[in-house]
Amino acid sequence: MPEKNGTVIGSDLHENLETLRRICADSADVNIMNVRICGTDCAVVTAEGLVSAAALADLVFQPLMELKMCMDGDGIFRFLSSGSLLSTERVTVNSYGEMFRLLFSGFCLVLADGVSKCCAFGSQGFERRAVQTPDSEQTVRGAQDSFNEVVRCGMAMVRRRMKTPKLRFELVQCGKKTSTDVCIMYLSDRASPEAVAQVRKRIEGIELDTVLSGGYIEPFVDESYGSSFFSACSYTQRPDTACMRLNEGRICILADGAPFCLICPGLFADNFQTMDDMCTKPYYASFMRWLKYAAFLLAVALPGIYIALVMFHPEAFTLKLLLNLYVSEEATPFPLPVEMAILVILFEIMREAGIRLPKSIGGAVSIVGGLVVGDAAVKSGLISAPLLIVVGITATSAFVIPRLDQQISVLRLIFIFAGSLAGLLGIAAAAVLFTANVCAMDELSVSYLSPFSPLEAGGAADLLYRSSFAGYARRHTTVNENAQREETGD
Amino acid sequence: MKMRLSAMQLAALALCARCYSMMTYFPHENNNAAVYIISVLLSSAVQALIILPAVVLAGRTGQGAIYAAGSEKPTVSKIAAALYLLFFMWDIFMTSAGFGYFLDEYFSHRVSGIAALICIAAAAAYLSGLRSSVLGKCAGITLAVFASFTLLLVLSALDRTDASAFHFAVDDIGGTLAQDVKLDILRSREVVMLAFLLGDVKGSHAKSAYSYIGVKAFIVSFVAAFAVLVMGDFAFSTQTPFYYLSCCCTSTIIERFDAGYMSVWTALAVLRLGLGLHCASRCCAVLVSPKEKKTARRLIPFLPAAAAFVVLLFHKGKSVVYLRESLWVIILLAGIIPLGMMLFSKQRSAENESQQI
Repeated sequence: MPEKNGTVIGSDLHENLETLRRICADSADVNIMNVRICGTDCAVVTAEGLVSAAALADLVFQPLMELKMCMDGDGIFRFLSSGSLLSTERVTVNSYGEMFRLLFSGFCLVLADGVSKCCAFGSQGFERRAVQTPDSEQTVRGAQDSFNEVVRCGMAMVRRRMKTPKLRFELVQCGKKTSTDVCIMYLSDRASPEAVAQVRKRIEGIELDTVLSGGYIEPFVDESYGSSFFSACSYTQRPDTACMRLNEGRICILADGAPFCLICPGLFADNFQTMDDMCTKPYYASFMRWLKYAAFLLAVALPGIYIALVMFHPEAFTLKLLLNLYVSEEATPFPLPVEMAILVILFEIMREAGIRLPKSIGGAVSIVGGLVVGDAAVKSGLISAPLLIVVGITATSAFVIPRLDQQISVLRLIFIFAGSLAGLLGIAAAAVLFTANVCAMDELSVSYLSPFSPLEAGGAADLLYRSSFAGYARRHTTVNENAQREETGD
Repeated sequence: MKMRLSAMQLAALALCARCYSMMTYFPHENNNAAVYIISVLLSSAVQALIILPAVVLAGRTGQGAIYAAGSEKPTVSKIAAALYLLFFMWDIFMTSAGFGYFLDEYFSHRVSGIAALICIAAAAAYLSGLRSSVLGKCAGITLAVFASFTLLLVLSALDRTDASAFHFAVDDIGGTLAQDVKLDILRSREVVMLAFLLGDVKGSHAKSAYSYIGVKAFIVSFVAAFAVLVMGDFAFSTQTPFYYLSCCCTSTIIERFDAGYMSVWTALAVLRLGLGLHCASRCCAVLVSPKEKKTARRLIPFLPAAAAFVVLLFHKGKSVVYLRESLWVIILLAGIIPLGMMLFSKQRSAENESQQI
């Protein structure tokens, strides 16, 4: 909830300005300009760097200065609030709390002597990052724009793609200190009203001082946040993906200051679908989907299964392969699990370094890693070549599903541990636990494994192959069976 | 709102439990596969009759046997819950002991049966705390893994099949059939779990029960038939044809499939044990007030697993795992108690109606 400052504005301008200065302790970024309009003392209050000087001059200052007739404070306020069109956004403010919220959101406040209200005009002109290509979700043929940090810009990007009055935007302020604008987006004829009400209630209940990104909101929206490996809310940087999910009956949440959109409920299958699926032939999109599922399994379980097979079940290998592995492993000084753990942890370190370092140096990390780990370690006999191949396959597979990199990193280590401890028995026990953990996730009454479990024949098929567009025209929802209502206009 | 168990999820749960029993060992009196398969089909028909009252009870009251008596007759509920609890504890004991014993039999040089038992009991403890719908979803996935593994075995041994081992050369075919039917029903302890959980199902209770019985009959018959096709008379000269089937299947990439068998079998064991613990915990919740003796209530279901641990420690597994309970136990819990509860609830509703008039 935003910080409360419900003191009502008085009618004396000088007193009001004094109170304003006192509350913000003469903050350097608050500009107060006293001006006499039509013989009445007025003041224009703006926040440095948050308003556009050009827009202010054209839309507010010039029309006000051109007022010739003699008016008292009430007359000026009436002109500002109902007799003029100075800006696209106009709000009448009664309290200091509201006044500060709008002031620091880039509004220009006009106060007149003798009036116990003020008029706020939207004249935002702060520096913002331009709309750029989505670096975390790149596509070959899909759209190339992404959300930026301004919530209204994100709303416009979604609205531009969905020109239906059924698309609803609800703005909620979160954070006692930050009063962050959080936008809840949904299609009223697709999303379940109960789910929307639930999300709204949860967001309004956030009692944090600061809300600086979607990550601050997620724990409050995601029911299983503390008890599951996976997240029941997914993220997207792409407006087209957000639109696709809205059409499936999901709810999207945009927080001001973060270029990512939170999708509720997020499904496991979302991680394996991209916008490119819609731009390629169904057979290829289906093939890529299968490839991603296989990559996920390889990324999580391959090192653990390799250890389990080599250490506990060598009889499963054919003789030739077994001899090759035996020769390679005999030459190394460390036990297999230790070798594997060293390599995997080293890989995680290099990956983290590559992400955090500037791009120019990030490349050098991979060269050093490739040279040191890939070549020198094998030549010196510290690491066996088959093991390196396994870790290489694992790492490359993980890159195919970047959205799950956190979960993959941890689960991989768990499977290595389980495989080292009890072979395939350990792997099976870990796999059942992992499956149970995923199955236990429900968000807004939607199973995380939906539409695969519980099985919905039409929806589950879409997980295995990309349906034709004729199929999507008939049914295109993953979470709400009753969402196929006829559009009835406004 | 938390999701309820669907009809197919419950069927999957019961099937997983049955697949575990089937992978562990096949109970049979003679070495004739054809007779065994017919007995499985007959036993399935008998089980369909046994479970009928539970299906009707769940359909009529929307509740399981231990809840159908309602709050008006807590003693009736408690007696039913106590009987079910004893059975589930027996099932947990047999599952734990069977897993530990057969693990030592098959894979003793790699993993200790006792250590593995501790491992899967811990995993099952996690599962038992979850809702039955979660267990159902988990069972669906595990069943898919089981089906994939079986398919892999079939594909890898398809070129070595020989049907000459199918015959009816048995001395007393009627007596053998009757004995095998009895043994198959005894091996189907999951029917009691199915009857117990039917009240949780949202949807058709009959679909759940009869899907399970139909698919179970198909799976068991198919596996038995395929084992005989691949291994001939040897398949039924052992109690564990599935294990030997996995050992003798081979492909150009995998030399033998017993490692795969171990992983699928373990996953099914964890699930079965988790299901047993879940059912036992619910019985405990009826018997002991949720507010009182919370720790005791949680620990009671684990006592049989601990007992199995002791049995394995003294190498007495073999004398335990082939023990056979009375057929009446299964008939009582899967059929008679639900029938009694059904009559009781019918009588109660008639009384209520007359009071309203």
